[in-house]
Amino acid sequence: MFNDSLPNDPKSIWKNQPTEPSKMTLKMIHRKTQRLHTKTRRELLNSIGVSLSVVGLSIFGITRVHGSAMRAFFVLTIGWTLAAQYFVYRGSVTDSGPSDVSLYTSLQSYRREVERQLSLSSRFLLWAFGPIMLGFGVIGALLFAIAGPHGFLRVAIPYLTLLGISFIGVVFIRIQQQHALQREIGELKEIEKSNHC
Amino acid sequence: MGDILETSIASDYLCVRETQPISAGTADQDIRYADAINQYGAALDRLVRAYEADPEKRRDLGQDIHFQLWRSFQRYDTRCSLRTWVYRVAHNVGASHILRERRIFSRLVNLEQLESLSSEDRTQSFDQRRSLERLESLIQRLKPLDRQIILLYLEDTDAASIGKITGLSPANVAMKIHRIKKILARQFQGGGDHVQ
Repeated sequence: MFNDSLPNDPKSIWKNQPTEPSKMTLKMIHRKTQRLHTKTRRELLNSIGVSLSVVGLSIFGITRVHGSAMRAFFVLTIGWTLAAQYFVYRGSVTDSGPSDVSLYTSLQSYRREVERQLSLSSRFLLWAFGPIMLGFGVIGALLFAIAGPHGFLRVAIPYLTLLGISFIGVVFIRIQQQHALQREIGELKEIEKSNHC
Repeated sequence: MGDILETSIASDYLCVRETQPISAGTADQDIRYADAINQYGAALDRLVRAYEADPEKRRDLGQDIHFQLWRSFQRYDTRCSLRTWVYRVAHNVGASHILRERRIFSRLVNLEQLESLSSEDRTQSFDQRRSLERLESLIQRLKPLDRQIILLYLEDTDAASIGKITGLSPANVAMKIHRIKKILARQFQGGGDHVQ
């Protein structure tokens, strides 16, 4: 152990730091619960709003374009957007949140959390980011149909470039995150293995 | 608090909903929560500082920990000591917070890596405030599991309790504590001579 008489003893430095212990009153807990409740409702409504806009634009697109390939693209967008709503929220509901925090040791809880983050990250790419990008594609396709190829390309090239860069950036960052999380799961598995040795 | 409410925790861009209802607190739950805060309120405040450097986010994290702690007492298992229960809940919420807030290029290290790094930035300072800042920044560089162990060690928690809280085997805990002592000795006392 450290010699407590030393002025630089980390334990005494740590324990003697000024603290402001706070206690949450029932009123504060109630307020926090309401805030969380409102936040869920707002996020759900935002998500439904975006999906409905994409679906609306796609339906509008179907009525405007004539080629079967373009129509198939709009139908695919509608299908993916609606499926995304289902999968994002179905997956979320089955996930357990921090209400389980008391049931698990730190090692178990942390591994569950890392696995949950990994699953969220993959779901984000497939079911949230995918439909958003497709939504931009729908807008692009509509502009193409309305303005014609020459007018569209003249106006859209800078936006398409930005969109392409952000698409690659987001996918790259998410994949990096997933690799980091997978490495972390590997490390935690090693710790669990060494626990049994 | 009589309403049955549904809570949500936004994680990344996806909304993660907890479907478990939040019911009114029982008298037992409130008493246990008050008891826990009386005994471990200061330790929880120190713990929050180790998990979050930003004062605004720290306040939110502190509230989250208190909220989850209060909720957890609905199913308090008396086979577990109050200290183990409180630290388990607090550290688990803290670790989830680190994962949620983690920046893309932030690099948290484990004790082994910190051990090799710590000799490079060693400085001698006997100023309490600066020493505390140095200790905090050292802790905040650690990955969650190692962060929990160093915090529990600093709070004078015995190895058996650290094992119960973290789920690590006694051998693993002993090894980690040995490393922590070496790192702290090098950082704060200019070498490993003071470690017994």
